Amino acid sequence: MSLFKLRQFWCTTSEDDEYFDHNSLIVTRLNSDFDYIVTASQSGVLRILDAHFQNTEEVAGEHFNANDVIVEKIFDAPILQVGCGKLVSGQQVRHLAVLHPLLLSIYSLVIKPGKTSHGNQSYLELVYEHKLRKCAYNFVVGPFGSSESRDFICVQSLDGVLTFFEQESQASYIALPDFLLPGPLSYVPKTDSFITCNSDWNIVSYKYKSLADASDDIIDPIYSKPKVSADWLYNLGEAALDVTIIDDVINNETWIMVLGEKNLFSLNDRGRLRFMKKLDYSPVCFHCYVIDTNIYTLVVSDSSMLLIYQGTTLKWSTRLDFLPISICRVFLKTIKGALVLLGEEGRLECGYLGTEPSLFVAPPLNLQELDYEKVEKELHDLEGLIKNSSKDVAVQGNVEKELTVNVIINNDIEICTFEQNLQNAANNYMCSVIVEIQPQGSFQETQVALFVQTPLKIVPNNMFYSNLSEKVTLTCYVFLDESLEVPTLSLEVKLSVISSLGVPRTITKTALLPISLILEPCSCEKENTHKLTLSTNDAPVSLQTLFSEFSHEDISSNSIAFKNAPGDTATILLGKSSERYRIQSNSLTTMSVLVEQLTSRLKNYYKNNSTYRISFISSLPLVEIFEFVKEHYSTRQMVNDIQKKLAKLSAQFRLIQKRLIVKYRSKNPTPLKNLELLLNDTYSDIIFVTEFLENAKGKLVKTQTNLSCVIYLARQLIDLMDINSGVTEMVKSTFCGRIYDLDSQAWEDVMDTCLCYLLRTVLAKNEKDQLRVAHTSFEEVKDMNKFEKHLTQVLERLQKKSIFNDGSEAEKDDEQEEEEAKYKLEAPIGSEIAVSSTRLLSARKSLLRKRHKDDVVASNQN
Amino acid sequence: MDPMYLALSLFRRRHYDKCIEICSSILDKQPLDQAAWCLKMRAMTQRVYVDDLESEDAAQEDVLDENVVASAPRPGTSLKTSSTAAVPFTALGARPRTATGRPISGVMRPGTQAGRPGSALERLRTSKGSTGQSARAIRLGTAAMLTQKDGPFIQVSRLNLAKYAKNKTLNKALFEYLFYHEGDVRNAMELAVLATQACEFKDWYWKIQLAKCYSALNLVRDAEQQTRSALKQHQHVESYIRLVRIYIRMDQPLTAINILKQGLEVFPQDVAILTELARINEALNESQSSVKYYRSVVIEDAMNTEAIACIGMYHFYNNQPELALRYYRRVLSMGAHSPELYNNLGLCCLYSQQLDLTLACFQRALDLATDPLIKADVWYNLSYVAIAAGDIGLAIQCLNLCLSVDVSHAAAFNNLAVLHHRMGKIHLAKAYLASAKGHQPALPECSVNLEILQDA
Repeated sequence: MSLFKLRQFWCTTSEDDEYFDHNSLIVTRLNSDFDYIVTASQSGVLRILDAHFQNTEEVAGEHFNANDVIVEKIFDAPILQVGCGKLVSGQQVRHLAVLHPLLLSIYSLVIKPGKTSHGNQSYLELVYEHKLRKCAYNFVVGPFGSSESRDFICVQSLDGVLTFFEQESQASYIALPDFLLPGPLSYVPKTDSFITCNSDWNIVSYKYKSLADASDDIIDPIYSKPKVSADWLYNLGEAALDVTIIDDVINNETWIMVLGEKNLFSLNDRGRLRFMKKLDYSPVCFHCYVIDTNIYTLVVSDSSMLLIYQGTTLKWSTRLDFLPISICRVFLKTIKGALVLLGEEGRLECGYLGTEPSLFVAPPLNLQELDYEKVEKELHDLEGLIKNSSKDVAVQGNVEKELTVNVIINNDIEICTFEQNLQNAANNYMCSVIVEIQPQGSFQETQVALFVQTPLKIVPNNMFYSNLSEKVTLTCYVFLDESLEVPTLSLEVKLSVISSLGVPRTITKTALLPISLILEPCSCEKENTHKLTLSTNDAPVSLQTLFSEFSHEDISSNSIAFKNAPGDTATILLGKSSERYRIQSNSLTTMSVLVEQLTSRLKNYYKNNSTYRISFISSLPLVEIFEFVKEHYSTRQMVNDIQKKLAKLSAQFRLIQKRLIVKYRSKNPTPLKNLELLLNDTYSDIIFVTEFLENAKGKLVKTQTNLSCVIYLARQLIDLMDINSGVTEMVKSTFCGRIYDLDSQAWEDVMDTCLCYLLRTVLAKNEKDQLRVAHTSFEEVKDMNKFEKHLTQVLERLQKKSIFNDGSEAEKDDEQEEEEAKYKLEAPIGSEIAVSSTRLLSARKSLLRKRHKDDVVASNQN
Repeated sequence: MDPMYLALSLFRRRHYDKCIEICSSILDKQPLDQAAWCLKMRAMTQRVYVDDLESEDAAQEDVLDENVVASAPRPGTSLKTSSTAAVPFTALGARPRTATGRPISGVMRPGTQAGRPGSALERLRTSKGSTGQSARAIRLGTAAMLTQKDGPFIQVSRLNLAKYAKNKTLNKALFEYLFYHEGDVRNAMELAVLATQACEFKDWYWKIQLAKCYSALNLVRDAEQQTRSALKQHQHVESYIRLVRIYIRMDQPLTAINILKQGLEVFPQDVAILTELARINEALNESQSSVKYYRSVVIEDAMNTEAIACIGMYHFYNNQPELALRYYRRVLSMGAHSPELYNNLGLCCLYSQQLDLTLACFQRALDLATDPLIKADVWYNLSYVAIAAGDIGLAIQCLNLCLSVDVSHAAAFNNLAVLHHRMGKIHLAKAYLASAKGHQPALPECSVNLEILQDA
């Protein structure tokens, strides 16, 4: 990237298939006033060119003229390097040295001036040549040994032998130590030493004198390696591409410039670092010169950039049209300090930097007159993009369209083939459930989970499909696992899918299991302890039609009775004249299923009648519900106690074990009898408590199921009560039929929090109650009375709501009631009246308490 | 011509493939020609060489990092907090950063790409675990195998490393071959250990190479020790920068700055050191001093695009879009032609009221953007143009387009929320703010907005 571009004024190219390297170009005066450019290709063509500069703007392109070629000579052997110097003894003129792989030749350029304007005649004349014993790599020309006005040549062979030629005579050989690959070779006149980069990636300086001394000692330089001691070493840490020596005679300074693969180094003649510059590009070649006391370095990067540094400061950078392999500065007749660049395929260019920036011009935008149709289309495309992207996020419900789930309940009852814990084989039935999933598209992952309420059990209860794209059916079996009351017959199928786009969705389906799975008809009972009356607003339906599957049994049109697995019975009676159904049973728990069945069947029967309504007006069986809650609570407490005891016992057991181990290990053996006794004792205790725990847990399951039945029942009845739907939803979600007792949180804790929340929000009696912060943290219920109070309040207020069907006409009770519940010492369990009387009492009590408090404060002040 | 000479010449002219071919033919004739073997190694190394100081992927292990000095560093002494914690406010407010904490400037630099969004654990699961070998190194190893038809050039497992470590002329080339071409850090390190013993710990080169291996294996402390020892022996710009990178990995930016300042005393005005200083200062949110260093870089190297762009960015966030525009135009005229640059130019034009150029710049940015993240940013900035023009509908569309390209663009969610709130859709606004917060919890705007909405 650069603002500028090199301005070329002279350019020529070589023949095809000619290749050049960085040694192929030199610029030399060669006995004339101005510089010649000498190029030598690896194909063996030597050219001496005289570039010229025409300050004419009108002629664009290459200003190459055939007259610019002074000499072009083709050799048989490739030319590796050209050089020039005072190479012929007794002459002060400069000669050209040409290095072939096995031959070093010295030529003199002869120019005969022409008589007419046709030009001069020039040719190269061979002065002498040296045959080389080894394949040459490069050479260096210089006044070795501080010889005045004489230049010698040192040729480096490919295997590291330096051969010195003192003009016509061959002087000596020396093999370089630590040599593997030949590196650049330079000569420092000031210290009379050679600089090279060895294979250990050090810049090494050898004194000419020490090289000459070492070479005197030996005859064969290859097989007997002489000891050549280096003058100095500089550890470069990378291979050097090129080394240039600038001998600044005026300031008596020597600059050793080293172009590494990653950095540019400048050393002085004693091998000390002057400066280094990290290059953030790969350098190709460089050229250095000194103006005043500053060293200037031209570096060509592999991205065809020419960077000019003064010291380490970048002074200029310019773009090149091609990648040169060698760069020089040339002083021509008409222009001084022009740049010569040689490309590896023979492109030779002369140019100058120029200050006019050639700005980067971005390709023009295609901004014509707006094509409205096109633009509109683009807009539509973009809007489509928005829609597509937002569809994934926002649209929720359409997964049902893509995935059809059918739950088919097979009403045929079979004999159960699965293992269960039933004692009574009479209820050993099961029914099959088929879940059909029909996807319209492809779904990455699909999981089906089926839930039934304990004591029912479903096998299998989940299934996983990946890459679902075709219809699948899953057959499950539901059966009774234990002979307990069944809270509900509803079966929940939950489908969690991850669509092909990675969006997760869930689908829930519910279905009712057949009643005959758990109940069987029996003879009716006339009088029972628990009665529930459901009234409807339409003509009563004969029970025979409602429970058509039992028509073969002898049931009358207005009464039907069922018996469940534990042996409890329940009867449904149809009021003869009124539109009422009565469900009665000796146990409240049995009624949940029946209410569920009755309402669903009635609703099903009247499903075309949208005004059909079943309602429950009488009061909820509050006391009974609370009985069950209390039973559950006490059972849970018992389980907790037993668990604590077990924990204590096992801790004790472990302690005894540890003690035993210590005793075993101790050096002085002591009798273990006592400990063994203890251990055995504790062990039998643990066994005993464990058995006890097992029983208690079984009992807990039973109470949980019973509680679940009652809660379901309450929930259904609340649903039937005529309250506005928002409240019903919340209350229903509170009365969750699934009872979970976790280690840290029991059902009562959750329920209590929910009840309090209800009391403060939807069931709040007045504004002030609503303003209080609904407490959301779960606390452990310790006082069952408080819980009962909350439960009673919720159910009472619900009934009030259902009676008035309007929350505004709530009872006139004082708002402190909630507060007082906390301070209440004891609350008698009783009917509605009892509760309300308690409330009054408590109000009085709170007054008393307040007064007492005031007294206390007053006494404290005294 | 002698084939060896030709091979050397081709190597010099960077025709590595041809050079390798010739070396192979020499080796076919003389299998024990060490020079050809060495040259082939070097050619193969150079062919795949990428300066590891400038390459993108530094190994990142934040989960299992045992080199952390302080888990809760004091402000200004760590680079880690600066990306997540609150960014100091400049005149225009906080500078926007990407989810990984890189300032959005359109300037890519080494090491900033490593922390991709996504939890460290996730990265652990997908990538190679904690060997610390960069993905590029592994790629290199496999790529190198593929290019050689008759099996690998050097059977590394059968190499007598002890023998080669003593060969001064071969060991460095062999090391670079193992490290860069094969990507075999373990063997390279073994060679380096043997070689540094062979030269009696006198060669700084081996210490630096050991440090390289140690940091590739995530042994940062050992790397630090080696680099320090190398620096004591030999002053080298790269050694300073390597040491600094090690300290940055150890999250000790202040030590790194000290080292760099020492480096500047030895190599005054060195561009590489100054750039490193400027980057660290910027990462520490000290944009003033960062820009000071970038200015020194520009004085030393007027072609340094990173420095120019960063100075431009500094001016932009200091309410001087006209100045920023001049810097970015300079970068443009130097030939950089990237969507980020056009995006920045467009923004500068917008804020300096050169509205006629604004859309043209963004048009170009959109045309050039292929990376979805950049495209998202361009659309996001276009929404500002629309807001400036008062076209809220267009702004919403732009933001939606931004989100359609990059679903986790928190700032876009936040702005959408603000626009929707303005149009009266408060719940939608809340939802958008919530998702903005979910995507980038550190974004201050959405927290503030959420608070305002909650209070209302």
